[in-house]
Amino acid sequence: MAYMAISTLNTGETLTALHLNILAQNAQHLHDLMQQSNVPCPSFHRTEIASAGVDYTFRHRLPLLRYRIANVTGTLNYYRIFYNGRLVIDDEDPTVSPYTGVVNLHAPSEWPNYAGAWNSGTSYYENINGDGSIVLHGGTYYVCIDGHSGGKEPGVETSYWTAITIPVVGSLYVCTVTAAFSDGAKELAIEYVYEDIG
Amino acid sequence: MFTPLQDRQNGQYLSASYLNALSENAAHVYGMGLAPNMPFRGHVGSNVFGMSMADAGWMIRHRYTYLHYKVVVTEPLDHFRLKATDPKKTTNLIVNDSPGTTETFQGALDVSGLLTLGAWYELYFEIDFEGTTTAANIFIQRLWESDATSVEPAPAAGAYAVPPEWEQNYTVSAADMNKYKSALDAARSQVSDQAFNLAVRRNDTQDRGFWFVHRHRWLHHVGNGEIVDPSGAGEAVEISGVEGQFSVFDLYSVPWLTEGTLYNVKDANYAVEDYDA
Repeated sequence: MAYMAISTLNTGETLTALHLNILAQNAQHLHDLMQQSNVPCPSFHRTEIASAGVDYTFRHRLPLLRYRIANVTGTLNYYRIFYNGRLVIDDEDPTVSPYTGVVNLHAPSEWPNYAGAWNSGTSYYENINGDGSIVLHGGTYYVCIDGHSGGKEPGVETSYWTAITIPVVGSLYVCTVTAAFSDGAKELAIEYVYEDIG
Repeated sequence: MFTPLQDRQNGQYLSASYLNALSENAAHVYGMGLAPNMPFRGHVGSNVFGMSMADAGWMIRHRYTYLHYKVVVTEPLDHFRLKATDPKKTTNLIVNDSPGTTETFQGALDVSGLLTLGAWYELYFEIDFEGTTTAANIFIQRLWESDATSVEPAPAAGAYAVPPEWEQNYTVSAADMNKYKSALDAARSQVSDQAFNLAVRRNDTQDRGFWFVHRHRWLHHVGNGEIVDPSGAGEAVEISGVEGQFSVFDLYSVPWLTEGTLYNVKDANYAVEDYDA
């Protein structure tokens, strides 16, 4: 049975059995939708690899993305996490394994290369590997797709800026985790990524 | 705790206990929508041959009509097949022996007449490149079940309202009753209107395996494994299984494993929590 629209009641209105039944049936419907197998995040682990990139497909529900990455041997040059190709975690000097952390997919202002509110006199950098400048303008976040020395207004100059799509509940996106060693083929584990609340 | 409620009839006495159960149910389903959300891990392969069951497999408990799949290849194929196997038999889900120059294979396949409801299966692809001599790529990007053929965003809603608590002889106000609407509409916007049953990739690691946030009592798994507390505080627990067969382990027997705990299942070929055995 599908979710049914719930009417808003007014004071003095008779509370009907139908109204109560719709409430109860909607709760049951949502419960049934969520009564699923509880699946894990399958790890990625290789004992001898110089660099790796692993894709995870999410059906979005929660804003925070948690991760844990470990180099068992060797020295990591970097690890990076991308949301639909957009860089959201960039550690270019990882020091103590395992590396755990969290990024808010609803807050581009917390992502790498966020440059604040757009300013017509500022230079912005081109998006090459998901790492272009991000600005906030008119309540929307934009990423620079063609580097320039200023004067190109987001939302108007569409060949210089594109709006960042914040994931909505139920939408699909790809999370890509990449990592590379600075000292040859070593042991790497991308243990998990998953969505969570704060 | 969720309590199934029987339909009410007009003229029936409205009790505080009924309304409280309704409140708890609304809060419960909203809370379910806030449980951690795990991803689908697919496959990226590059070789001159293609792929088979030996390269990758995915475990799923059949629950919904449509099996969503998406596979991208970079060279023409000789054949593209998707199969489901359990210990008793293998079922062909897709057999395409004339794929031509197609590079993206995707769809929502009706598997209701092919698979047994509630049964566990291993899904795998048989993909052969058509005589390529250089390495070509295979990307497995989707493999999950749903009750719908498309993926739709959840309907938007206003903020969640905590459903009221009742006592006998309280007056039922419109404002209190409208909190149920706010709570349930918010829960729907958090859960979405579509069921989503992910396939879980076979363990392809030496000793890392699967990471869970604990929710259900029963751990369905294939092969031997170990349940590990990554904090090091809880003692590791061995689980034993039979290669190629689905076994079940009662997670209530792990004393340190409480709901919401992050833990790791190592070594097993597959592992998935479920609410029944």
